[in-house]
Order: sequence, then C-alpha cells, then structure tokens
Amino acid sequence: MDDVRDAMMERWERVYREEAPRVFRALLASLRDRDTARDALHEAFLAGLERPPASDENLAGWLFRVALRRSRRGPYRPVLLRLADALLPAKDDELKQTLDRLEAGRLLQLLTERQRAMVVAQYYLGLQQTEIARLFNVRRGTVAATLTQALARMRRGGQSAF
Amino acid sequence: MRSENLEAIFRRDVDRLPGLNDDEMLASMRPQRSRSAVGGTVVLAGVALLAVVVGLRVLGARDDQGTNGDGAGTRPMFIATESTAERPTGTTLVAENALTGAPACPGNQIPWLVASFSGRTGGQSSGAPTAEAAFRSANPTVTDFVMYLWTEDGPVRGDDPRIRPFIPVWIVAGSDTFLVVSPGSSNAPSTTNNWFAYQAKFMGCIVGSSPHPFPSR
Repeated sequence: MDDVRDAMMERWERVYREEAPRVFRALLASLRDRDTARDALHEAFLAGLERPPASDENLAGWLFRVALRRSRRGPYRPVLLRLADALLPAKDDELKQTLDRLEAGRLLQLLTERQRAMVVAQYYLGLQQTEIARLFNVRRGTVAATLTQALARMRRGGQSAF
Repeated sequence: MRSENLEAIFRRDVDRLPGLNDDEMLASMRPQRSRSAVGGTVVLAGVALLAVVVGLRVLGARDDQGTNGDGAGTRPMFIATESTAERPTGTTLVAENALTGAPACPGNQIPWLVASFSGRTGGQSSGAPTAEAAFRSANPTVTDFVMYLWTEDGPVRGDDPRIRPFIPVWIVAGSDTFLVVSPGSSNAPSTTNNWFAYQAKFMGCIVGSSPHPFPSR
C-alpha cells in the first residue's frame, strides 16, 4: 500500500514539475506577486499530492485553479501570516516593473483579479471556455461574459489592435 | 470571441516573466531568505516563523477535501494558535482533547493546536534531518517519548518510511506533547535539516469559519 502511495507521489511530482513553470508564470500574471504565486503553486502541488486530479487531462488548468484558490485562503491566513508578512515584507517591485513593461502586463492591470485569471487561463494556458467554466466552477456563460467584459476593458484601455 | 492577437501577446509576454528557480520548484525554506529585509535576530526569528507558517500552510493543504475530486477544498490539516484565547473567529469547539494517538477529528472538524512557533524549543538555529532528530535536539533531556504520524493512533519508529516532509509528526512525552513539522519538498534529501519541533497542545476539534473558496460571481 505504501509502495503504491509512494509511486503515486513520485508520479505526481514528475507531472507537476513539467507543468509548474508555465503555471507559475500564469499565476504571476494573475496575482502580480511572486511570493503569493510561488506559495499558491506549492500548495496546489501538495493538494495534488494528497488527492491527485481525477485525470491527467489539463493538469496545468487544475494546478492553476487550485493555486488560485490557495492564494485566496480566508480567515485562517491572518492567524499566522500577518506576523510573517510584517516581519518579511514582500519585494515585488521587480516583477511589477517587468509586468508594466510588457504589453500583456499592462493589459492585465486593467482587469479585476477574476478577469485576469480567466484571461490568463484562456489566452496563456490555452484553455477552452468549457474547461475554464469547469475549473472555476461557474457556467460557461459566466466565463464568456467575464471574458467579454475583460476584452472590452482591455480594448478601451489598451493600445493593441487585437 | 477568441483573439489570435491577444493570444500571441499573452504567450509572448507571459513567457518572459521570471520563472521558478529549481530549488524553489517545491516548497522550501530557502526562498524566504530573499525576502529578509530586516536584520539580525529579527531575520532569524522571521525566517523561523515563516518556515513554520509555510509548513502549516502546506500541511493544511494536504488534508483538503475537494468536493469535485480536485483537492481544492478548504479544510486545513490543523489550525494552530499561540494561546487558548485565540481560537479562530467563528469556530466552535465541538470536542475536547481525547487523544489516543496523534490529533484527529472526524468529518469537517479540524484539530486545534496551541503552540508557540516564535520561540522554537531548544533554541535550534536550524532544522534537523529527521523528525526524531529535531525532537531530540530540542529536548535533549527527554528520552521517553512516543511518535505518531499525523491523525494515526499507532506509534511509529523514527525511521518509519511513512515519515515524510509535509506529514506532521506528533510526539507524546509524558504529559507533554510536541508537533514536528518539515516544510521541505517530498523528495528532499535527509540532509536538508528541515524538521523542527515545537511544544504543542491539542485543544480539541473545531468547526466553522471555512476559508473562502474562489468566488463564483
């Protein structure tokens, strides 16, 4: 039994390592905070370690989704993290400067966090709207509406011919 | 709806963002060092605290109960506070301490621990390579103790292969109890010195105040 569990853990770690770089960048673009993105990705890895996704299909989307949830942990976070945050203030100026230099970063800044997540899921991770809907546990119509609003914002605020 | 231009912009630009270093691919204490903007003792205390915090967060992540099998639920493995007066807001204590092994709670209940992570037991300046070594290092005078894997009733030996990073170890030494955690990666070598021991007390099982899921609207 332990052998089976060990094999599953090793396999999960292997597939995680394949997807992690891309998912991490997607999280950076969505969350605009390196430490939050990294910690959230770690937690998604651990969630999969304990309870792997049902199938190998769309693992990047699964990691992205779980990591986003982790980044939004609610009432428990302040109990232990507020002090840590106070002691070790994050330094994300470099990331924000990079995002500000990149067209995608400037466009994403025009959006809400939820819009950013869905835009990144679709246009960077390449997920279909049905996949995004399933991952975010919303209807496909909600995804379509959110993306439409996001596109409108980006068109109004951006200078790209997309 | 899809915009090929937008897709090209995002693929081009997001791939330019800095990636993860190999040593921070998995949870580790090391990445936190880059954040230390404070000096001396505060840095050490902060790193220690954050290491534990990361440990707690990752440990909490392991025990989530996803409703759709994606592991994306929100039940942490345990909640730790520094005093009995700090039980998380909105929670209810539903069962008092009644241990036959490591803390374990049924259903949606979560073990509540009182532990001080700011003052590590034994004044360890770094972690130990194993859970047992961390405990012995922090409590050199304690020789009679029993180790349990988290949530399990049966004792384990210090060299039990099931003792792995991310899975806390509970130690009972007489009337004192200890939590030993390692926030390292699952494949970290034993020389990583990533195990830390803390005196901890299981207060009972709590329910309520679930962390927020990703909003649906």
